[in-house]
Amino acid sequence: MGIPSIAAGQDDMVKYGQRVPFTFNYTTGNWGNTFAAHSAWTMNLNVAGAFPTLDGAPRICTSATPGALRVQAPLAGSSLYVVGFDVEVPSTSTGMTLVLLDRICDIQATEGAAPFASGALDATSKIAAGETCVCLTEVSATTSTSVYATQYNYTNQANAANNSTYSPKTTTGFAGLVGQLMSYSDGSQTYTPSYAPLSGTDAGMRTLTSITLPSGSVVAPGAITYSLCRVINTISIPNAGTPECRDFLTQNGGTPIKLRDDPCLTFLILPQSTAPDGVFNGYVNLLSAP
Amino acid sequence: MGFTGFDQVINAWTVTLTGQKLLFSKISATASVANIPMDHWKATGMPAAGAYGTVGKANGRVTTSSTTGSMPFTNAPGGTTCNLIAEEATVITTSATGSLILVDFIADVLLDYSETTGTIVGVDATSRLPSGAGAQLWLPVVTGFSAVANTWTFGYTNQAGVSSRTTPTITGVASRAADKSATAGLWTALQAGDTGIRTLDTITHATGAGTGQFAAKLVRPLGTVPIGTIGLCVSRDFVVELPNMERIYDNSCLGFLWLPTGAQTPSFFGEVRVASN
Repeated sequence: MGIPSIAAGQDDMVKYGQRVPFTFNYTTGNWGNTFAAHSAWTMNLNVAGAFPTLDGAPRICTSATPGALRVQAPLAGSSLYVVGFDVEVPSTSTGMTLVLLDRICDIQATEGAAPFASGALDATSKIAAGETCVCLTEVSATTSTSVYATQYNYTNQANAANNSTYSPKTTTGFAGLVGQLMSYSDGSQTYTPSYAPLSGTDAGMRTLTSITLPSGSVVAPGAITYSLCRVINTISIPNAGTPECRDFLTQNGGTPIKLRDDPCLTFLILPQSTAPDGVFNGYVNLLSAP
Repeated sequence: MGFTGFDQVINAWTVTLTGQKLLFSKISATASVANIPMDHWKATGMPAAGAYGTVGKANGRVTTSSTTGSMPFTNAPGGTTCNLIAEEATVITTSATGSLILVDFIADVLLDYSETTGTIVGVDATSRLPSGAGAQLWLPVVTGFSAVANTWTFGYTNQAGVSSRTTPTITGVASRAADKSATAGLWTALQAGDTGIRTLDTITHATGAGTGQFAAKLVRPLGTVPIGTIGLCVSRDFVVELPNMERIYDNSCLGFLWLPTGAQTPSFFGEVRVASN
């Protein structure tokens, strides 16, 4: 039945709420460019995330997957809702924007190679009918500076097959560092948050069935991990050293987002500096409601 | 029925599950010019870039959520209405601050800069807007203008359904580049007393022989997010913070305009939240 009102949500928060603590360490220096999106998957200090087997089968991620926030299951017959979160970064660091994600499934491939011999990256059993994911293309082992077109073959919100192509404007780019997301612009200094592009009126992907690379793509020592993620919420921390919070129950439009039962929560980071080394801490506030 | 209280918004997101997160991640098709409004219809990414129809005043069209370039969404279930709940965006290109305007692109027509005087066909907002409502006229350049300042006027039917209304003389900006406003501003001035346009009916080419193309678009502005700092997400809550729960009509063609503060190729991402009750 969900959360029918503010009063019910506040009441349930007292009884059935959970504050999920997190601490991420980003002192490893994996910051290639200001405003370039980075995955926090390997930075969770509780249990650092690891990438799936190189050139292996797709993996379904859950709250038990190393790297995920430690979320308690909802009460029987209930679901989890994100009702807020708060976070701080040390004053020695920099402002940033964090995107809370549910990482649903992933697959790792050698750079320049097309994986999926073992099957599609399939989120359909973990999301509602008609719902979609964004596709992240994450550097999981330092890549070369070569940039090449990538065609994403996927199914959309209506389970119809479609494809889209990332077409770089140049043939050279930056050497991707672990955790950095591949740029979908021109490999220089202009970035999107690295959600894979879509075709037509598609809203997102339910499965990534394969990727197609042009002949002659460089196979470098690097590796790429493709993941399908559900975007939950976003928070910005404009001032390092000053905690920020977001309330999705009584503010921000009153939009608590329902989670799947076994979410693999993690973050995407957009740093305002190339050297934001430090630790960020906080809580995701969840509510279990029938 | 719409929303009669805040609890119903929470209810929509957690009980009836009629809330929708419309994600976007775009990079502008062209570089901006400081303080000149521009159109993100052709911006690439997610959703895919839009395109225009065949050039000429006889080729107007109504654009919908099924038109490539629109953010797709599901219409409100029968007996309910869909409303704007929140909008948030982050710009991640150095120096690319500005304001992101969420709009419903209702109808458009692609015109030559020197389009001859005559009747415009198909630029009609009546299928989307309720009686008494009108859209704004937005004129983005599609193919860069030559170094000539053409002038023209449009005839239209106003929000009350009164035809033969006329805009003041509009002056195109010589050498204006693609995606930027063809004029000096954002919305086009209307005849005194009018608040909007239901159909765009005629074009009268007054002066100039410049070359290039522009679009005449009927647009419904929905919400604005001012982005003053690069890399920081800015949110607008239209329920409590800035009460402005604009109705999202069935098949609305949702997209963005951009008011930049500098000359950059803005890259931005975020989401629009709508819900039905």
